[in-house]
Amino acid sequence: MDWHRINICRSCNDRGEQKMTQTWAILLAVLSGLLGGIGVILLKKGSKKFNLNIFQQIRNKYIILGMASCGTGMIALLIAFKGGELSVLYPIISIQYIISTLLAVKYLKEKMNLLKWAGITAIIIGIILIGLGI
Amino acid sequence: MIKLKAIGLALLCAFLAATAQIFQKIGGNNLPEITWPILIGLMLYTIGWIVFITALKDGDLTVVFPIVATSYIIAAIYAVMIFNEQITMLRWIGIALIFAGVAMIGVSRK
Repeated sequence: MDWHRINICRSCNDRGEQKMTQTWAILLAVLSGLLGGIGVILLKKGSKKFNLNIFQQIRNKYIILGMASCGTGMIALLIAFKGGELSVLYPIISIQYIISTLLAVKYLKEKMNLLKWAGITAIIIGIILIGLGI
Repeated sequence: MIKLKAIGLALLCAFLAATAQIFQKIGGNNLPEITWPILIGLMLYTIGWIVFITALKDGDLTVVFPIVATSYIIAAIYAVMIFNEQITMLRWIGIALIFAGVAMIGVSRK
């Protein structure tokens, strides 16, 4: 592939001004975060049996499903990147921490407490501030 | 007990994750054509996954996660330096809140 044909800053227009991040790109980043949050719980479940023996890991269904979920999320984010800025879209996938914390309480028997709720609240406010696009 | 190995692996994972985003952003810009930055990004992701799972094996999810969250700050710095993105004060506050939120979730674990 030709290095020179690759556009590095396509989020700038001809006059070098930043383009606004598109709504569809933000929605795709949210989807990516959801898939990432689910994926990481699956990976945590699979990590008990994790080692570098690829033949054993092929049969580790939690690792396979976790990677599939994270992988699909990654593709969603890749497509989202076409529609906006990295500094907007990448932080949005932190929605995965909210999902994974709630799922960890439900499925990994981890305990919820005030600090976790405070953390989730801070992340939600952070995502809203970034998502406003100003 | 704080496990230094898990923390070190989590930091490495954060760096790999942020760097992968740079390549994915360049690759995303050039979609639908599949260009080599996507492949490099994928490679970094894959290494990141292995490092992440290994870190999870040594440390709790709630310790590993906040450290991996520094990738948002690393990626924001990359975005300014490489893509000339203008990050407003409000957006920096948002990124800081996200990092703080993830850290709070992490330290909440006894």
